[in-house]
Amino acid sequence: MTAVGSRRKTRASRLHAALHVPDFPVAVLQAAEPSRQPAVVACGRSPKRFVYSASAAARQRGVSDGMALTAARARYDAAGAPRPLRVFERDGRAESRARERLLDLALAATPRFEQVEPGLLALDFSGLRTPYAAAEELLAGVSRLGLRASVGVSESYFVSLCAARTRGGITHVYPGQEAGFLRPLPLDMLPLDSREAKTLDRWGVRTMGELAQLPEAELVGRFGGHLSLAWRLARGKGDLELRPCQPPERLELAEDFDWDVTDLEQLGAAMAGLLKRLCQKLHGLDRAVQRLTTRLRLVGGELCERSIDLPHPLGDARALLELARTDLAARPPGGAVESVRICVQPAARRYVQQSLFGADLPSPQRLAVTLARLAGIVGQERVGAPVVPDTYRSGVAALVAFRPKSGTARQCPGGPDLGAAGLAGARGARKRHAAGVVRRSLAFRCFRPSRPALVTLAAKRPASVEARDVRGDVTACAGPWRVSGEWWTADGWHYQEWDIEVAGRLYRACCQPASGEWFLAGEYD
Amino acid sequence: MMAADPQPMNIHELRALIQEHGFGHTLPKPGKRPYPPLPSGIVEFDERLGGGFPRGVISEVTGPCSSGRTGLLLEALAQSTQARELAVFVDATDSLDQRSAQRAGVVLDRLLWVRCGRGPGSAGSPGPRGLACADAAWRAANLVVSGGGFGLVAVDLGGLPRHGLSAWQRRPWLRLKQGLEGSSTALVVLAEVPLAGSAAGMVLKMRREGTQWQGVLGTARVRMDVVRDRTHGPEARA
Repeated sequence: MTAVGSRRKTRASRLHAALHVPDFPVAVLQAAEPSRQPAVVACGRSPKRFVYSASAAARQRGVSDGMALTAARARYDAAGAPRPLRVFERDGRAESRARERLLDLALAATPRFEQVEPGLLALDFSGLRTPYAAAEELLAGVSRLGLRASVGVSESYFVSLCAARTRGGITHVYPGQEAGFLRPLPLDMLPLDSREAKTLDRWGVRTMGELAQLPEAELVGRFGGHLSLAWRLARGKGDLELRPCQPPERLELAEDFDWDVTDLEQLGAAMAGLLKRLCQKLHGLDRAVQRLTTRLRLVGGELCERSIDLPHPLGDARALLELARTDLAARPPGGAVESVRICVQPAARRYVQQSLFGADLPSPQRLAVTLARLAGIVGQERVGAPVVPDTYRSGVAALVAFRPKSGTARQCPGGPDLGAAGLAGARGARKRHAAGVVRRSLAFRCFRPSRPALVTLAAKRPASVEARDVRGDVTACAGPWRVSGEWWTADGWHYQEWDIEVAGRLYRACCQPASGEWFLAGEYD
Repeated sequence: MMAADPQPMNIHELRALIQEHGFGHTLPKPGKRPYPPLPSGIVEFDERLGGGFPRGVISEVTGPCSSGRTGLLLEALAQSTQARELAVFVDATDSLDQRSAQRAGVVLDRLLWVRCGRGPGSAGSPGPRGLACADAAWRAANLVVSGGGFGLVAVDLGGLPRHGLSAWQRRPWLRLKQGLEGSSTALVVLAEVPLAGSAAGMVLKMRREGTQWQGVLGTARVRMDVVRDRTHGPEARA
């Protein structure tokens, strides 16, 4: 590790680190095929192919970014290089994969980081107990990817970026040493536009130290207020602001199998690895899974997709795997699986504080697993919280996803507090109320589906009923009540409802006036 | 009554709560039930039941159709959900009327409704009608009991055909009872006849003694008899 300055300075309240992979597009391709040969990444179609990115060795021989490939080759050959120039075709997918890996490494170190440009990350190390160990770990992680990188650590965001871009390995610029560190660095590190850079170059100002010696007022008068920031940065006084990446709206990981997977256990094992990695990522972001989507590509190209909405965000890979397994067991894919892709929708973690004295509530993990298993038994669409349907049509059942909210329930209404009073009160009460008789309204129970009935009428009132499990004379009845709805649509309905008593049981019978058909909508209980 | 989170206001109240809940003792106090019963919501019945449905045991509400069984169950669900507990309604015949539940005071978003009746997805499932529903209801009830954390698990087997009820009678109730023991969950099974046998801690029999017909279907006179109560010890049974 390179250290600039002394460590005896006060401990930093804020600390930044920057990770730089030089010549990122070339480095990614060279990592796949290690070689010391000077190389460039080209893109575009012949004859307009141009150099997208060049390695340091190629740049030393006159090759620069944006140069026509033929010109670059000619200049490289003219420089008398011992080895021929290697030309890679630009691989956007490989770059994207490498970028994601770098982001994962950053995420493992800190949740606050910024991707300044491909291959250059700024990380907020404030509050880390062991920033040096974190920097070394970062570098080791990049090395495992086959890339070479440098890390700069400083209190200043700008200085850490400069350190990472200009030095190799780990460079720590200690507080108070920023100006001295920046003094020899070229001006192209500063946020200057091309006009300003050109003018300063014409003046012979080529390093930050030279810029820092110029009077600020004169510079601002000549270039405007914008240069004041650059001047202060060059003196190691000012700083730029880290703009942390926003948490992603969804995270995805996929795995292609070398052979067709027909066994759910094997599929579960593959999914376990993916879920573990996803949960590690989410842990770094302080997020959890709100919705889990599994996409299976079957042999023959058929796509099988299933989603699980969780009542509480879950961050536990094992619980998520159990949910996914339960779902797969309940609805197995229709054939052998070629690849699996898991997509999660993150949400803020929710921490549930159980009460010491109040009612026990199931933990979010356990509730999610229970719901998934219930869905496996009766079907996803038949488990949830009931809602009152927006219609009076008989037998309509409406459900929503079960997501209990804490604190929405009303307070418990007053009643006999016999639970706390214990048995003595109950025994005394038993003597007072030996009968246990009350007068109540009966609740309604739906028949789903409704039961078709044969009803005979006497004096325009039901006299006898015959339906499944119901047969007999009507001993009492009340009605009719006309109910209708959705008459403005083709699916309109119109009933005449009767409450009837048959063989000591109470039913709701409905007649459709248009057809004269009867059915039992339910019973009172 | 398990009210919503009693918050102690001072150290004395906190001490009293700790004492009452028995947290200061390694062994539970003799004769002290760990959880207070769940009120049924009907004062007269609660007095008769010693506070309500006992927790950690199986209770059965039996009786013929139109005897007030469902009303009692919905009242208990209302009590549980209003006390911020989560409750489950395992509906073997898909008969829950949401409006009746809401009218009874059930907080619907704290009620988990498991519709075991044959839906569109199970139309082609083998076996006679009712058997598949009974099987699904048994599995669902076991699952929520073993999952734990619910204040009330209501299993509605009313309207289930006889062979469905017979299938329930043959189930290993003692295992379900063991799963419940010591938990804060009250399991209430609604059926025409008692099913759990000796595993049931409390069996209630409901009966309708009369109905008011005054142009409309009015209130009904409902009688509840405690057929068995093993939760209050020999003194209470006497």
